[in-house]
Amino acid sequence: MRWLLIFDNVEDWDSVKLYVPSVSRSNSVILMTSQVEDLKHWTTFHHQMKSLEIGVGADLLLKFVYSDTEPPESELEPARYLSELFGGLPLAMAHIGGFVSQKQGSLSKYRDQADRNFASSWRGKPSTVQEYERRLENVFDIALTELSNSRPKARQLIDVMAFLNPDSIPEALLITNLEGSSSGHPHTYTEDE
Amino acid sequence: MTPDLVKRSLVHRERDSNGDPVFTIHRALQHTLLVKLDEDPTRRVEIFNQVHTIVRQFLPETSPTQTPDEKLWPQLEKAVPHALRLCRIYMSPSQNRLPGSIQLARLFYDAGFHTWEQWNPTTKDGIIFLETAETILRDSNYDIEGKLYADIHSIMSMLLDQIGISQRTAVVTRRTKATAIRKKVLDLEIEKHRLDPAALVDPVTELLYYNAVNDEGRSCLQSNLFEEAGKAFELCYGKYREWGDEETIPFEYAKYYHNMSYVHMYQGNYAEALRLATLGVKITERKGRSGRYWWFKYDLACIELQSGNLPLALASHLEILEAREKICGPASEMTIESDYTVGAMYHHLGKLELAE
Repeated sequence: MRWLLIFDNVEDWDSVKLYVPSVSRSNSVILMTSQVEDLKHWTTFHHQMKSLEIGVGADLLLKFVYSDTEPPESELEPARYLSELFGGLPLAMAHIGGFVSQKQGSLSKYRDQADRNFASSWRGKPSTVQEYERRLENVFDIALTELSNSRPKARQLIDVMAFLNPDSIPEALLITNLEGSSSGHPHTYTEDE
Repeated sequence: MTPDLVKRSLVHRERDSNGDPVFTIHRALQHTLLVKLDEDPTRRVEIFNQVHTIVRQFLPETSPTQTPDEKLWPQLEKAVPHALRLCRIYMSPSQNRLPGSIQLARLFYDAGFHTWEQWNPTTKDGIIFLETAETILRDSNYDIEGKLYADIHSIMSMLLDQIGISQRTAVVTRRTKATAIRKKVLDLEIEKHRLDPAALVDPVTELLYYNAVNDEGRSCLQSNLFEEAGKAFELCYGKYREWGDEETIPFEYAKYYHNMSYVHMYQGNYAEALRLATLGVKITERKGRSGRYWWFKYDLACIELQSGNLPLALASHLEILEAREKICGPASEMTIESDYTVGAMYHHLGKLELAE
């Protein structure tokens, strides 16, 4: 009997090794998806997913920022620049788009800010997983620094979320009644402040 | 605050299968946040403690008598993954160790208990929880004969039982330690009562001790030491008769009948084994056809097989498999056990194509 076994979003080998069959494997396949490049050492074949083409990444970025309107001409080149800088990584496009949209800024200003902060460490399109990861961290850095400055309690909330299961954080979990909050009142994380 | 995070695409808001709002966050962002917190130990500890409090409020506490409570399972299904992430972060290498506490150990013990009590146990996660709880207790210089250690030994041995033969020695070691602690606590209370009749022995203390004796009996069964097992179960039975009858404490009586049926089976007393196993099933059924009911029914079916009644055993196992698929899901360890057993039954009956 042939079978296909899929492990999706594997974080480390230890979490799956007990479940990988060692017998009855002929004519069958074990497929593993992961963000961790080192896991390829446990496989007989690996395929690195390609990120988006520059133009496609730029279009995605522009859609995030200008969802309801036509983007100005002046934004097209920065969009392509950022798309190339982040290797067309959809996650980066989403975060940059969200950041710029929330700030009601522009991709042009974002590019200038990113260049000022990280020009020394960025060179052309990323070519390794580590470079993708570093640049993604830089995108997060920009967003988190701004969040700390403008919305410190939101920053605290996302720090809390770093310690929770990422796939499903119930809103009810965040409605908490922590004792010792400075106001002395129940603190509801989902209230706007 | 959460709208700020959603608009910035830092988190995503959606609804789960029950229609309740939930958030998701990308693991890469979580990694970045944790790296930054590593650089600020004070803040890291502050956030960790906040999350500890949040998860504690979300995760129900376990029963002091270590009795499964199915009413809590929907809540547990939501809460345990968060406790697991907290546990993994606590144990992950870092320049600055996060603070442990008895409360944190208790949280991880509760989570570990919950992974066992469900009818689809996630053994590996349970072991991680309980080992982490033990590490915290050791680092906190918690009394080696403290109750929480006994609780951990008790549940850890249940989880290790799930793994199988390779863990039997470890199971016996832990059960011996659990029984010793429970006995010491019970003896202290008995002595206090002797000196002061007003100081009553806590029924929970007594129950936990006899549960530990019962568990040691089950380990004896696994090693075919059925006479020793029988002695342990009879010791418990004597106490049950002091506490009440089948109406007042049905769980304990069902357990005794179920366990003693195996002793009689090993002794070749199939008629008595079948009688006791059937009794255990009937008493358990009074609370509905839960996972425990089907567990006891499974063992009855195994005795039916051993007694030589193959057609009856097959019919029983087919019924059990169907029920387990519905209650526990097709991928549950229990369902897979039944899949295998039904296959084995067909093999015994010479129906090899069905067995395959």
